[in-house]
Amino acid sequence: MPDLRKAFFDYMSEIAKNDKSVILLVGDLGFSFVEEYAEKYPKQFINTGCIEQSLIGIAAGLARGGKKPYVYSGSIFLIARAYEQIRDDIAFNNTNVKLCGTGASQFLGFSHNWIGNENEEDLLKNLPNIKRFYPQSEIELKQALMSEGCAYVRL
Amino acid sequence: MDRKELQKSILENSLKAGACHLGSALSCVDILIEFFDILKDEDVFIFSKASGVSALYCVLADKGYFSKEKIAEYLKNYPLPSVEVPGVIHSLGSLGHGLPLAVGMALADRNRNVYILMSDGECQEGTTYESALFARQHNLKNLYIIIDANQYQALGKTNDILNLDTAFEFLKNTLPNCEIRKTIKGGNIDFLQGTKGHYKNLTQELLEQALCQI
Repeated sequence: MPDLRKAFFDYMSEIAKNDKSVILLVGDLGFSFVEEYAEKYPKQFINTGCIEQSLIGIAAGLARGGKKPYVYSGSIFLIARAYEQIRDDIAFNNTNVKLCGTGASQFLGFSHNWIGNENEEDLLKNLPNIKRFYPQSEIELKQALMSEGCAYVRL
Repeated sequence: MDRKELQKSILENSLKAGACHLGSALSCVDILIEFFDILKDEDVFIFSKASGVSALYCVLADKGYFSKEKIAEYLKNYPLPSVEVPGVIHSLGSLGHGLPLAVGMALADRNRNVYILMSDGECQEGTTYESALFARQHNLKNLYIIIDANQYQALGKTNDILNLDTAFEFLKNTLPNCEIRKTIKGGNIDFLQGTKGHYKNLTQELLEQALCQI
């Protein structure tokens, strides 16, 4: 699977430039990838710090307030840690939030377990409204980021 | 709508709908009346203590969002605040989801006031503190919080289960517009006070007793 992190921030710059309601939220992740976007679009960027559960609720609130939030974090923190928030505030409420997760299949092991989150498909597939994208190319990534409504995009 | 009318509406409609959580609904009656007196059309109101939903629907009907005849039907079909009910902007159920939502809405438009009514039970949830820190970091002066501190949760006294004294201090010190309001769970209806009113369903006889006490 290609590493789409650089392409993600490039596309986010393009999207943010064309639509001022776009806002990128990162959960203190994105080192060496996020800096250029953060500098170019400071009013459309927030590093929320390590508040993964509230991050999802805040994104839902921004969407309810007319913004188009994109949330960038590690898949495991994004999906598993905040699963109830995703279910209730994004999927059930059908709020226009894009969840963009990295490192889903990376090995960051402890005690012979994985901190990756390869089962995000299992967690998300039974939820209503939320689309799931597993882009294999930059073009597929762009299509996923430009899709309508709430979605998960694996980077 | 005064306190007595709102209490009566909550009790009668809860019986019709077979709804419980009367203690939670009755403890926030005064706060709700106060909130809806100051709310302007452009303001946002979030009812985060979702189990007290009967109080919310009664107030919304009184404010003209829908007819009073619909209250019991909504309570039956939507026993937690749901967007299908006019006046509800986001469906909520689990504790600790309202404050992050309110914070996001306050951030989306700093010129609009966001009011949120929370329970003291919600102050045991971690998201309350995550969101409070975020609200302070981003200087959200348009966020107004009232915590309905009725001092009871499902199984007993809140301070016997997980004491919130230091938590309340933290919230008051962190958020400029956060008020902790001490209330009585179940209001002035003795058999609904404390934990007794958490899950109790009314009967016609109990309704009549309750109406005598309001």
